[in-house]
Amino acid sequence: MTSSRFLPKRFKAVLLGIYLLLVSYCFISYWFISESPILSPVFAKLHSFVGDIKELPIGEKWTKRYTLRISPSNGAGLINKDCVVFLPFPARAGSRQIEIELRSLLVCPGYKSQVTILLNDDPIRVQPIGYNWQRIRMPLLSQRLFLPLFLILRFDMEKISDIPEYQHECIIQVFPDKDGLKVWESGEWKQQNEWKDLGGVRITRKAGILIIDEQKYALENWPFTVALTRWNSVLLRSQLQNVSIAACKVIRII
Amino acid sequence: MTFLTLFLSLLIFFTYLIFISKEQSQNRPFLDRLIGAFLLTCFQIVFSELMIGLLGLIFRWIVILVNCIIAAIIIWTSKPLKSKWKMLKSDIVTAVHNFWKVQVNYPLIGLMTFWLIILLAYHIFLAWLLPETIWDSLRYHLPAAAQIIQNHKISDIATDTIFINAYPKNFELLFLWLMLLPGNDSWANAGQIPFFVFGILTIYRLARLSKLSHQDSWIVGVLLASSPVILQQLMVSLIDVMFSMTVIMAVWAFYRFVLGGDSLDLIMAGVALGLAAGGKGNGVIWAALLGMFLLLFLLARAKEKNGRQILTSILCFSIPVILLSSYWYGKNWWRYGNPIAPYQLNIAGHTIFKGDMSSYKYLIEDKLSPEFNSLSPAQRIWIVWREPVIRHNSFGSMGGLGSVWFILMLPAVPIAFVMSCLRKNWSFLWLCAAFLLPFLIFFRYQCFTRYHIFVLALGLVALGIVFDDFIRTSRFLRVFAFFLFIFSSFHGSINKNVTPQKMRELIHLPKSERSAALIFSYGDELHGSVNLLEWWHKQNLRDTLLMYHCDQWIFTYPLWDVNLNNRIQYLPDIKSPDLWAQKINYADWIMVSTRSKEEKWTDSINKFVKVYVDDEFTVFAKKV
Repeated sequence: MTSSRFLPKRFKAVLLGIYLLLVSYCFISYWFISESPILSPVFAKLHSFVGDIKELPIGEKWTKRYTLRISPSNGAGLINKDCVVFLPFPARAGSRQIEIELRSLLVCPGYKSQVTILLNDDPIRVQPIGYNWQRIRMPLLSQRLFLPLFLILRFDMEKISDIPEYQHECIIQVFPDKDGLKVWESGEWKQQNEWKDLGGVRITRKAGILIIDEQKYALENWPFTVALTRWNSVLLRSQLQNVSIAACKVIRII
Repeated sequence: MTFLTLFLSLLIFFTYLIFISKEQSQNRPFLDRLIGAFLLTCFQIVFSELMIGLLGLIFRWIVILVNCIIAAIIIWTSKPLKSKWKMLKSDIVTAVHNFWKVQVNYPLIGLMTFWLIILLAYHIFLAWLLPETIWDSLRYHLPAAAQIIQNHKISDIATDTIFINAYPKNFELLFLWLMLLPGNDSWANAGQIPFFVFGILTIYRLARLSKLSHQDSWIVGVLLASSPVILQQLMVSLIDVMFSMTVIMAVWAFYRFVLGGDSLDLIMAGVALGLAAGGKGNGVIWAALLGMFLLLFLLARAKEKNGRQILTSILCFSIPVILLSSYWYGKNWWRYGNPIAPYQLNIAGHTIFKGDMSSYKYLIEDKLSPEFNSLSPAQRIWIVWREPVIRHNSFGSMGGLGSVWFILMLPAVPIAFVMSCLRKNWSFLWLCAAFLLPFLIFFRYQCFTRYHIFVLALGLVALGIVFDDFIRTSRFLRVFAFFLFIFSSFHGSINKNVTPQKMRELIHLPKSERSAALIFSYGDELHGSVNLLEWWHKQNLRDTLLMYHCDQWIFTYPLWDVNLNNRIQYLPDIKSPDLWAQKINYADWIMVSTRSKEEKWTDSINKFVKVYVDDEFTVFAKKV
């Protein structure tokens, strides 16, 4: 045994108290993260010290409140590829259904937007989605204690007819992914750090740079997230890299 | 032949166990000798294969013969054999008796050990049941071993993956041992399990060296199995558990030396670090760090030791490191001008070694969830330790150290540190330095838990100190740790590919049928090549030579087949059709990208007929 006689009893009691406090904090933080409405403000405060993030890393702008007593989220997650929603145990106590909203950001002639939904081992479900928000409610069939529950949303575009490619006309919004984004505007490069609506422009793609109506805009620092709406033409599949094609929000677990 | 592998491994192990007898090392407890024998066994296997491989003689019977001869020589030098064997038997009986007594007298410890045995049995079963499925295994760990078996030598080959040539391969040589002797890869997945078992024993001994009780030492040793990333890795052919356990063993051996051990401890530290440095690039940093500690220690004791003793200590430590790792880095330096190829090394803005890629970008940045990009390394680690995931994976990308680490061990580290400082208990402070310095050196890389499994050793010893010190709450804490351990290990053993239904399907298939390509849910890992690999597997080929050149990358390992029957050869980019025709002259099968120039050239050769086409790949077979 390590010798304990060199430390005063009171000092050891203080250390024990600190240890138990730390354990309690870690325990609650590990199990409940901060979904609980009662604990949420406390944890938000504490986490600001240790560097928590506002969003769980499961999709940009994704609502964190994906578990207990979910309230409608303000922001929607923009999704490039597959999206996974994990539902921890506390959220599932008594829950029977999950409700999500989906919409496509790309409505292209000749293409059909769809989402493949996998909820644990339940049958795969393929859902066409359009430009407007569409609410989907799914039963939580696989809800068993200690068995993980997750939801995978796989967004895809299926080509349904051939349309010749021509210059694209669209309304485009851009968002810098990482190091900011420079936009060529009115004859000079301007730093862009938030969503920007570039209006109805023509786009073509050159290596590393998305040229948006060469006379008007050019964007540096590819990749960045681009939300495209109201398409008038076909976008090649190869050009879809790094382009968000759908948006999703978890509404609630019932 | 599987039993031959087991028999030969045990033979080498017991040879070393007799060699490190009680007579030769009076102060060495039985468990320390077990760990030492394990390290020396790994040393013999890796080093013998390396030497035989460099001579181009990797054939099953040569490897067996050489290892039997080495074992015989060691037995010969271990005279008097009879008394040593008798002593070993008595040691084993005593150890088993003591172990059993603790299990019976302390129900909590008994329950933990029982659960550990169940976990071990389950993971050994999974390692046998599952095919190789992990990206790294399919891309370079196992192809590297398969190439050595195919070519009968260790040398750089034409490949579409530079990692096969450039990465150090000590751990791949251990996979080679498990594949070459039985002639198949049935047990390749189990390569990390012995390291895990000896990792538990090492942590027990580390705790004992830190003056913890038998009971608490065993509890913290068993708690190593609470880490999901370790459990997830036990069923696949990755090397992170091997690496972490060897560095923990190195720290243990070095610790023994510092506490008054002998040269054998330094040899063991050197062997462990040699295995680690020759197995993974960052092992070099560990070797340099412990080497620096050794020099500092020897300098501090310079008055007590003469020059010869100091030189002996340095040689005992450094020779095994050099033997086991220098070839890989020297070869890279000679071939690529960069010992750590393919990565470049920059220090303070200066490029020391030019490489094809940045290790941070390739290993971390490109694999991170984009939402992590804006976070600092500390924030990433904090999130990962909190494990916001339901299913763990073997990469530890979103968790993996387990709830025991986050809830009990992590808070215990600062508490144990403060107590050790106040008591001037240098042993724990030394452990802090040994484990935290490498952790901090590679801090940016630590957002995947598989890269810092070794910190568990520090957390476990700290937890043991807390158990031991806070007597009033120790019972509660132990029971709490037990329940967290059960949860965390159960949770950590769940794998998305291992559902009861999937296991039922697999268990009815013979091992040769359990190809990764046939398991539908593994399609994500195999990307676009899943249909091709499934088709290839169904051809049930033997002794065939497949040459390939594809623009897109492909997992080549499943092409070898479970019994490693086929020969797979990569063709580098060839500019002219004539040269292409010349190169593929001896091939039985050709695999190329669909719509590529190579497809056109092969199509024009009458000797070959197109037998498989999909969007990405086309396969030609030689006309019969």
